Amino acid sequence: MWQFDPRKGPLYQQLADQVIFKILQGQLNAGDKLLSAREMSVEVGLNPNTVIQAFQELEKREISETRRGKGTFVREDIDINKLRKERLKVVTRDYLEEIRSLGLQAKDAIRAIEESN
Amino acid sequence: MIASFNNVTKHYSSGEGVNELTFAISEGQVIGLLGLNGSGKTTTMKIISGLLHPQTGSVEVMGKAPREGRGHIAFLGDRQSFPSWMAPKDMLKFMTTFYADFQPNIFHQLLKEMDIPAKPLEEMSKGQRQKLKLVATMSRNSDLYLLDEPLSGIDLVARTGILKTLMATWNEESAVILSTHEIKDVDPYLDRAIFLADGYIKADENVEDIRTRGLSVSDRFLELLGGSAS
Repeated sequence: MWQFDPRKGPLYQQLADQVIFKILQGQLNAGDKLLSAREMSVEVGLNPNTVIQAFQELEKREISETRRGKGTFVREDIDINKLRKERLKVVTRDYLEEIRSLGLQAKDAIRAIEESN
Repeated sequence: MIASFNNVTKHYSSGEGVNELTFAISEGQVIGLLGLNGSGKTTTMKIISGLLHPQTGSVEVMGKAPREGRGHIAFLGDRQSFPSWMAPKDMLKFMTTFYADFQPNIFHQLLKEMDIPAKPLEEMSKGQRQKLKLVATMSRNSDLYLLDEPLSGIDLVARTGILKTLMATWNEESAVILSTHEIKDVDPYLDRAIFLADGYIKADENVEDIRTRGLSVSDRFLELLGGSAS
């Protein structure tokens, strides 16, 4: 399922992040072919230009590559551990932001994580 | 460049109309013409398509006056209707007779994809009729598609279907201008938004730039109209 929030920044960024998330979850693997920009646009419900921009972002971040005349593929040499760590950073940042907005501190969050484990 | 407006003004005797509109449309863009009822959306569409003439200023479509450029434009008007006895096959005959750029293969493909039944318009639901009108418009091989309120009065499922059809069929060497007051639905599909109020362009912006500010297109609309974002 693809979900976009028009208040959470550029949509191409959100789409690129969701493709990465699918890779981390194992729904997409190294070497897999991505849908064409047009197919992806219909599937996710975004403009094809936005999808093309997301593909460019993925290429820049060394996650996908475009093979001439064949389409866009997840790179064989993607570093899953690195992507996982990057994702953890983002999730942690968002989490801490919410914790702080409640008037709590990082150490409260750490305690809560330990307790719920 | 597909179309350009240079300082275009057109008033009706009622006082409504559009004022000093200046903008240019390039290929590869999906543009939302956004405004409340009476803000000048339909008037702008009619001027582009050559149905109305500006009192001052100039308009070009593919380097020609709108009337000569008409062959480059596929227009879906908000009031435009086909006779109620027409079924998709009759519409196919009608469209191929009138438009040399009509593509029957695309028409058939879209009818199937959009699940449009082979029966007369009068026996269809409002959503089905609207989808069929859009399919007929998008089956033309045009440089500019003008869609005036393509989503009005249509349920959520059909609205999503219509927008997806639009994305699936749109040829990126052309441009699409769609007018609507249902901004939330079209938001993710737009490249650019032209906001109209009282016949003036209040803003003409790249939609991803608006989102970079943490605003949705509707938020920006409310901001420009002086309301508060909800």
